[in-house]
Amino acid sequence: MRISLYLAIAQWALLLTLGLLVIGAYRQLGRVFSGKRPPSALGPAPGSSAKEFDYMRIRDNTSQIFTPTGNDGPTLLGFVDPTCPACEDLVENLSAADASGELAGFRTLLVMSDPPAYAEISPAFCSTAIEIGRPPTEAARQAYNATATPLLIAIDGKGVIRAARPATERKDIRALIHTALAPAAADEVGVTIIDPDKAVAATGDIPTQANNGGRVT
Amino acid sequence: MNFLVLAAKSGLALMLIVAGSAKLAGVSGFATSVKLFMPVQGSPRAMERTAIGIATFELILGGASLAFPSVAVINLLVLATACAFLTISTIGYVRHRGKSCLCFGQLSNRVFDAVGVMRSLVIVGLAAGVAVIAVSRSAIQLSTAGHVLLLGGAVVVAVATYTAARGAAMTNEAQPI
Repeated sequence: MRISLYLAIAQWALLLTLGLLVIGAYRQLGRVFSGKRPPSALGPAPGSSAKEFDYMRIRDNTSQIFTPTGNDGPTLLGFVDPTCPACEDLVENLSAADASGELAGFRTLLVMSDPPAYAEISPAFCSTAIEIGRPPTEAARQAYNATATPLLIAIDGKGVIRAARPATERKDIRALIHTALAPAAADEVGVTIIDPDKAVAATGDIPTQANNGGRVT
Repeated sequence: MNFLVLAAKSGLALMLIVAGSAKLAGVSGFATSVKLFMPVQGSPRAMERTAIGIATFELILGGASLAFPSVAVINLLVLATACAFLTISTIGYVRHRGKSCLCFGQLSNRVFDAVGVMRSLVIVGLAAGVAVIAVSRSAIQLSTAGHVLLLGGAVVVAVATYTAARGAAMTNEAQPI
């Protein structure tokens, strides 16, 4: 049986394309697992002081300053971008957590570096009630070592970084909330170690509308 | 000559399949690029639907071009699409230089620049050659099994590209392939 010239060429082209895709995926996996950029390299070191930075608030185009120690309670700082699908998942889950009162008592700020117009196109970014800001320079990203997104950082009321990790799901958010609220003295094993399941189980520690945002009255 | 024309044809078809599925893997991101070229600013949902429409069109056109080489009108559609790419990259170069085009979704970090315009010119040249230069009928004659084989290959490439693009988006380490 004799196959046509086109079929032979197309088969080789298909094979070549699949090969390139496999190589691309392999290189991507290699970067993730080879230790070139381990998860611990992402985000600021726990225990360090959170840095101040200025940003433009997307909602009203006003200049603001993020001061980690100027808040009454802890802060959740998220580095996200509208062009990153995982970031959209995080924003959606943060919005849901906010709507259910889990973020009561927290200051939550989402920081993006994409052009502001990009936020208008993302349903998750458009619909969220959480404050979104865009620093004028890359200084904030560098200060927080936000080399990849999404990155969620828990800062306690004293302006100390308690944990930083890539996060997308509700259990990740709850774990960071739990870490930010946990007393620093009891944290001898290191604040980077987070067990999401345990954190989810300890819902009593999570500030909600039902427990008055976690405040003792 | 047959070999060169058919190699260009299958290459263009696969480029459309890869571009379409990579865009579908990150529709929200691609919608931001689409928004740059819309004369009227619609709702985010409308932008996303437009982005899905463009990506799906590329995917279907690429699949059809790969699996049905004897249908001449597909070559003209590919040429028209290549001309649209050239127009977009030229406008992008003039108005939005340096912004990400997301032409291959998260698989590529390409931006609107002079190289992009040159690349589009090459694509138009190849598409024009495929549309104009006649090849012998026997070279593009496929049996039903041949059509099915190439359609299957197109689906496999589309799925592999979609998966790779989603993976690149999740790790946020887009690299050109």
